[in-house]
Amino acid sequence: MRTITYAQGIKEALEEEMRRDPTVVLYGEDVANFGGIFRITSGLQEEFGAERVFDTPISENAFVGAAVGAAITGLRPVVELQFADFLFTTADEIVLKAGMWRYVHGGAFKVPMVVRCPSGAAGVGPEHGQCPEAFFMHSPGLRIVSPATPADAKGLLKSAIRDDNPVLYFEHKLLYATKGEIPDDEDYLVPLGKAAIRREGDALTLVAISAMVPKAMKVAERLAQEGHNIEVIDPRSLNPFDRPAIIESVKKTGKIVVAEESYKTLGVGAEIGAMLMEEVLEYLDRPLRRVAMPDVPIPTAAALEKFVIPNEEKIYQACRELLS
Amino acid sequence: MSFLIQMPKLGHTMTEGTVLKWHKRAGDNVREGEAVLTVETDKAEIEIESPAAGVLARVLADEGVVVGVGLPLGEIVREGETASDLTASVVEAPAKTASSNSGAAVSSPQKAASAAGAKRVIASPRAKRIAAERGIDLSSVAGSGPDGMITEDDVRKIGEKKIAEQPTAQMPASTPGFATEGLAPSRREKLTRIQMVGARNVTSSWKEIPHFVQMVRIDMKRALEARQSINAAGSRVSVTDVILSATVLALKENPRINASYSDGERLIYDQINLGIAVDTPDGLVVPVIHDAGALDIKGISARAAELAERARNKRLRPADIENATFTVSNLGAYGIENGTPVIFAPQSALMFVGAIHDEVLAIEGRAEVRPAMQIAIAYDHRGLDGANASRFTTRVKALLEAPDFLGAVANTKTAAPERHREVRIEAVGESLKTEVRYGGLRWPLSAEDASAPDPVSSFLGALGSCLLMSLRVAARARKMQVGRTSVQARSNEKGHVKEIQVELQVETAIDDEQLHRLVEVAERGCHIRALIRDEVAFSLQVARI
Repeated sequence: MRTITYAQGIKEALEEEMRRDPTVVLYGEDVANFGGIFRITSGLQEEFGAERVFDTPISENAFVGAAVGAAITGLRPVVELQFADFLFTTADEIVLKAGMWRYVHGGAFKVPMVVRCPSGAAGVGPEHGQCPEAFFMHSPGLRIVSPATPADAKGLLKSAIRDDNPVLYFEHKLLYATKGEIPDDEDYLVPLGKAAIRREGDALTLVAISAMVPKAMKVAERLAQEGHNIEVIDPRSLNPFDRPAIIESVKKTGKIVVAEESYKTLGVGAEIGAMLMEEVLEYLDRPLRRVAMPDVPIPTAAALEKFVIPNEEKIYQACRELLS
Repeated sequence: MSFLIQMPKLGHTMTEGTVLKWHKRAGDNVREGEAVLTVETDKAEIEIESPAAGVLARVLADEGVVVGVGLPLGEIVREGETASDLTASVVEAPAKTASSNSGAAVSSPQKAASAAGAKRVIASPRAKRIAAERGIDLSSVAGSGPDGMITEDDVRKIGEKKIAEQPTAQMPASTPGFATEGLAPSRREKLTRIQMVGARNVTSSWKEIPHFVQMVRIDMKRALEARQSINAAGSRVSVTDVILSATVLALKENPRINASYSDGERLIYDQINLGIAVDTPDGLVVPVIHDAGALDIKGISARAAELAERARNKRLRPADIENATFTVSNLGAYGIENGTPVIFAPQSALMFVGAIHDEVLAIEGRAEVRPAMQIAIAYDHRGLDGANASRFTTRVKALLEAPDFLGAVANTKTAAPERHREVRIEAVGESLKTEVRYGGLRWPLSAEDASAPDPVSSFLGALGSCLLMSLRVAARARKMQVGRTSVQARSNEKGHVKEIQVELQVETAIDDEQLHRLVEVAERGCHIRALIRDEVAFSLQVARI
């Protein structure tokens, strides 16, 4: 076991996959010379050359569209958006082209591409701080992952690059510096569509996504001291979604809280709630509780941002309410 | 993952059933679909099959015990797993002690709750589920959740206390006879469970449904002729099948008859589920031909025969006796000419079919001897009046007297009801254990060692035997002499099947051209050959022995 940071996990995944497969290319705004706005890609152009690692003009729509073309014609492009929020600029290419073309053209080709999307509120305001996963979960054909640990950051990115479908890879800005252990496995992969049970328990199911996972673990410890042994599930992949993992857990506990940084309305928690209604209503012993971003633009002012972001206390209170 | 076996609900009126016999004991392995126990309901004895492969972890109701619909009878768990904790305390409750003869029969928890009055019960779905499994009446449970909602914990607490006293089942109290000093019965015969529930059902049908009965006499000459001409073409339909077919057609044209009356409404069903009363050594049972409207006379005939056979062998499944919308009772075989039948609630009508006798009928002003029959149809007067009932009654008569609707059938072949072949394969470690089943027959292809054919070899075997059989059928149809035949089928050894080479060897005196045509026909007729995709290179060589 080594200990690495989340940012390191992403970089190692890029390096290893580029060494392994010459069709993997990397580009985006400032990824080459500057090494990426979050310094994830520094040094990659030196190793792999300007043909495989290069900068693009400030036009997300154009370079994501180019990635769709590159993927269709045989490359495995990884493009970096500086902020996940810019997905909306590229929505035509992502939603209508990347997500749909393989299907629309009767499977005549594959679309193996990854869009790296740094997400999450970090003092950067409403246009640079969202977690927009749920917007794209709604759209067919896209795979969506939101790793929460350094090991998953690496293993899921490697799997994403090897996947033959377009993957939106959400990396939370506040997780870059977090540390965690990773197996010494030379080729460490985490499969898409498989949730991780971060902590086993039977009193309540707490589903936490991305940066909510470390917060959820702290809540679980606090509740354990109060005599409630809760289960924490990190879905990791939002599409494909590991429904059985959550269903089995809820069958056991009968109570569920979903913590996410997406907006509450039609967020990931809404989908999980609807799924449970459809499939395991008779196992629910309490109403679903969602801890999510309220439906307002994320404030730039630090105090206000802190006020809206789901935090440990809010997650704890939601759990307490169901455990009473 | 565990599976509860529950008392099935096999009809609108069924509220409970009796455990007749357990075929498995706690701890026994069960296969998916294997009969685990037999229960007796108001209509039949039913074998309940295991919903999954595993182990019968617990028996929750002993033989002879009466259990409410939906209550658990036993639990199956997958091998290596333990019984679920949802019902953990049920196992501690000895079902035996509850099977005494005292008190009223248990009803389902839902019913108990509604009987408790107007108090609305607010309970979490999970709490309801557990209460239903344990037979707990939620109206007696205090809720501790938000807004007084009953939660899982509330039910568990009650459950622990109540389960011991909860009667899993009781036999209904015996009714007192009118035996006096002067008239003592020589012996007493206890009704079987089916008869007992039947007695209760006819009582309530007779009391609740205002019956009226219409009777007509039918000239069966042409119906019998039509039957003969159908059978001359190789079928074996019975007179009853002819009557059933006419009934189905008349029901299609008079949908209000295929209905139930309920609280000021006619519940009309487009699907005709025809109940046919069948006499068995244990009494009358009524299996159902579902969606009879979609079948022609041959389909009805085949299905009726199959159901009668199952009924006599006590092999009826729950699905075979569910949801009849109209019933035909034929006592003609006993020589009965007419009767006034009792409807099976909640159906709206029941048709009684009498015996066919030669009678003198007035035909166009002359007296003629004709095979004639009477039918009597009982109707529920709440949903039907004499006029709309007559349209049905006279339509049945008209169809049988001018059975042109059967004309087309005599010359057409119709598909037999669909049956499936079944192959069962279990993997144990590296080995495959294969068993082919068809109807009641079983052929194991290998023991539990590693000698089973792999999937591709099995397929090649199927292909070879199918081609041989097809060849023999084709030769017989063309009256060509064929002696020994053998076949060799071969494919690439590894990976996806890319090519299949077949060599047929035939011992025959027919000339080459005839032989090749015969093989061509055989290949076209082979069902397995038709499964091979175009991308697979297929070659068929013929050689003489």
